[in-house]
This record gives sequence, structure tokens and C-alpha cells, in this order.
Amino acid sequence: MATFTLLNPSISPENRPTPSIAGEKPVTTVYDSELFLRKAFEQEPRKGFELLFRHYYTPLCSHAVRFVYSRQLAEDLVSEVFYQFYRTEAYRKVHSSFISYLFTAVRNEAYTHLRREFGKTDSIDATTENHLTGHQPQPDSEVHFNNLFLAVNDAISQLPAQCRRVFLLSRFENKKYEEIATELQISPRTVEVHISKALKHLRQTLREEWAVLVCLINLFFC
Amino acid sequence: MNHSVSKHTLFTYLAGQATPIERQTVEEWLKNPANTPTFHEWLLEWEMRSLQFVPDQEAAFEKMVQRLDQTEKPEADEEPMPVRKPLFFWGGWKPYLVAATVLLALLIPLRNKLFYQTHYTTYGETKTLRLEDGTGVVLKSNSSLQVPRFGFYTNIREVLLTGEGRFSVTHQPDHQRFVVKTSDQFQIEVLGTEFTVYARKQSTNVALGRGKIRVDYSRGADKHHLTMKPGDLLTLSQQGNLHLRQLPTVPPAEARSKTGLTFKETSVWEVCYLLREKFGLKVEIVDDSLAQRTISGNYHADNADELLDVLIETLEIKTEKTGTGLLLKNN
Repeated sequence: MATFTLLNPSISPENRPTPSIAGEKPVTTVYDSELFLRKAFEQEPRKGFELLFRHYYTPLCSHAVRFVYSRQLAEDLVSEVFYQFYRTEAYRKVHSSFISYLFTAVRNEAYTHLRREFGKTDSIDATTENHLTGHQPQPDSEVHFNNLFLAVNDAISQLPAQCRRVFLLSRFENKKYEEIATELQISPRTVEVHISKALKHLRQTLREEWAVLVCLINLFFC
Repeated sequence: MNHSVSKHTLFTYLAGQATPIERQTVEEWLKNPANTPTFHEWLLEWEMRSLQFVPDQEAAFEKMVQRLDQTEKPEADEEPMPVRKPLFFWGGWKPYLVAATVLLALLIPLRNKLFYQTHYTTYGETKTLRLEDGTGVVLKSNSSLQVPRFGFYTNIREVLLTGEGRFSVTHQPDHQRFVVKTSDQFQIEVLGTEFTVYARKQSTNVALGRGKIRVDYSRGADKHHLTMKPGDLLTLSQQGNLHLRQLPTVPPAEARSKTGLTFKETSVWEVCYLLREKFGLKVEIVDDSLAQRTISGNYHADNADELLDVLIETLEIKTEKTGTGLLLKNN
């Protein structure tokens, strides 16, 4: 496997203009830092894809996990986005920066996933699904995606310590109930209770978020 | 357009620690689509600074490679913008993939006929071909040569040979390379020269008349190449052993009676090659097993017929006259 030494454009703050100066041409800097990726895609898409993957996989997983709170789900979701990116040859058609495209896709997917998992109680959901597919994200979406992961973050922070620990072991680390029970020296039954409590709390907190999101989306598309 | 939001403020907001005023400012800023690329750029930086966990990137990449290899040819013409779709939408494109695979499978047998023209010779038959680019090929008995119908004008001219052929390649003004493939593991690459390739089950021989050729071969996963000079003989045995040496030297006609010809485990194929190239005698071998037999020793032969007699006596074989020359056969 070939290894590449590349400057990571995202972690050299001195290369990055301060916001006030960046205001002139914010897009150019993104293009500049991704120029080598674009070149690689032009020469050999597979090579470009490898570079893109190695460059952005980790931060995108980190971002996705803020929504779904599961390592496994986050990785699957980000992998799927990368896979579709290559399969549909999106790299030929992307007009924004690659990272902008990937973030949009990952945040969309994370949103979709969360809404499926925790949003089923909403009766309007079934109808909004149709409105959502096939549309570009509306201007408000970035704010709402942010609100969503902040809400998830808050919800989990508010959990009692032991409940939160059990929930994270189960969901984030993907551990089995029995393993958690052994690790924390509690009964499997208690683990179950903690987890259902956590999920209930998460569902309740997110309900408000869904209400806002769904209203806005309906306003936008109707 | 100026950014009303600083990176620092955005980071505070993303961490959920912004004051209501900051939060409102950031949200207003985010609502402007022109700021989205900058937002994503900063979001990336923020994530890099506060990674929630470090996934096993290599394992994930391996998995991705496997998945891509399974469905290699990417399908184009999909919407370029990410849209909200269910997480796994296999159902949408899988039928097309299946249809494409079936179609491809059906087309494979036809493909060779469509894209290549194949010349065959039967047992004892010799054909002289002239390819589009002017290259002359003498296709020996029981051989085939596959020539692309199109694409001879791309950067390489590539033909596929089984059996034996003598190539006299014309040098193109644009130095277009000419490649003779005998298998996936073995190919000869030239610019312009004369050489003979013998590619049969038992062995592959390459003899170079003039010019220079490059031979590419792979042994296992390793790729190698070597360059041949005029008078060189390269032999690739069935076991995959490669042997490069000089063909026996044939002295000029006036000196022949004195020096004679020295053979040292020289294959009948080689002797026949020399008979053709040096003595101008049209002689072909029809049995692969005969071509592999070797002779050793010092022989006096003033002309082709004497050399041929030596061969017939030593090996106890017989000859057969055809319209174009002689055939050597096992007794």
C-alpha cells in the first residue's frame, strides 16, 4: 500500500486566513487546499478517491457520531457516503469543495438516520419523506443540523451518570448487555432499564427538534 | 462579503457554549448559502481539533476497496448534489447492475470477434500477412494471430500470438510501439525490427534478427523486463524458467568449410531458425516435441542441404516437401 506524505490543509492554522480577511474570497482557500485532490481525481479517480478517503474519513466519522452516538453507525454512514460519492462519480460534478459536499451528505444521512430511529412518533413524518428526497438542502438546514447534534449532546449530558455510562457503552462502544453488566458489576436487567430510560429521554428531547424541523421543511416545500 | 462571524465564535457555537447573542449571529451567518463552504471548512478544522473518536481508517479503507472491486464500473448520470435518501438504497440500482452484468456476460464470447481479427494457419500451412501499419508477419504452421480491428492507431500496436510467427516491424514516424503478447505473463515490445516468436505450450522462444527488443514478463506477482540484442535467443520454459543466450554463430559462407557449426544442446527449433535465416532454406517443424529436441557437437556443413542431412541423420527424422518448402517430421 502506497503511503503519501501530504500536508493536511485543515490543521495548519497559520495557512488559514483569519475570518475578517478570509471574507474576501472564502471559497478559494477551500479550492486551494483541495487542489491536489482534484488533480489526483483527474489523473486517476481511484487514487484521488483513496486520498480523499484518507483525508476526510476520520473527521467525518467524528462529526457523524455527534448525531448518531454510535461508532459503528457513524462509520457505516460515512463509508456509504464515500461509496456513493465514487460510484456516482460525484467528483466530476461537484462545484463546491469536496469537503463541503461530503459534510452536506454526511449531515443529511445522519439526520435521516436519527429521524428514522427516534422520530417515528411523528405522524407528519411519513408525508415529509416525499418532500425531502430529491431536494437540495434549504438555507436553514445547516442551522438545524447543528441544533440537532447539539440537542443530542445536551440530552445525553443530562442523563444521570450511571445511566449515561451504560448508554454510551452500549450505543457508542456497541457492547452487549451482558458485557456491560459484567464490566459495571450490575445485573443485565439494570442495564436494560438504563438504556430504555436513556432512549426515552433522547426521544423526548428530540421531539421538539423534529417539530421545528418538520414545520420548517413543510413551509419550505409546500 | 465580510464574515460577521469569527472562527473562534463558530467553534464556541459548535461546542454549544455560545451566548444567545453569539448564537443568533452565527445562525444568521449560516443562513446565507454563500457562507456554507467556509462553514464546512471551519467545521472540518473544529472536528480535527476535537475528534470524538479515532476510527480504524485502514480497516475501513480495506472494506471500501473490496466493495468497490465488487462493483467496479461506476455508474454515471446520477444527481451530483447529496440528497436526503434512506441510508441504504440498494434496491434503486441493484437491478441495473444485475442487468448490466448479464449483458456483459452475454457479450464476452462475441467481444473477441467484434474487436479482433484472427488469422489462423492449419497444420503445415504458412501465411504471409501484412498488417495495416505495414508490418509483415509470416505466420507459421498451426498458429494464430489476433489483431485488433480498431485501435491500431493508438499509442501501441498490440497483437496476440499463439504458435510461431516471424515479425518484421516497420518503424513508425511517431515511434509507436509494437507489442507481441504471447500470454498475460509474456510480451515483446519493439519499435522497428525483425524477430521470430515461438509460443507453444512447451516453451516460448524469441530470436532477434536485427534491431532491439524489450521483453516484459512476470514471474508470480513480480514484473521483469530485459532487452535483447541481435543474435540473442530467449527461451521461456513451461516451468517458467527464462534463459537468454546467443544463437550458435554461423560463419560466413567462405569460412564454413573450415570452422563448421558448433551446437551445444541446441534445439531443433533453433537449427531450423538458422536454416531459414542464414541459409535461406524454407523449413518448418510440425511437431512441437521435435522442436524441443536438442543436438550437440561440431558439424561441417557447406550449405543448407548438408546441414539438413546432418539433422536428418542425427535425429532420425524425415522430411516432406510442400509447395513452399520443407516440413520436418518425427519418423
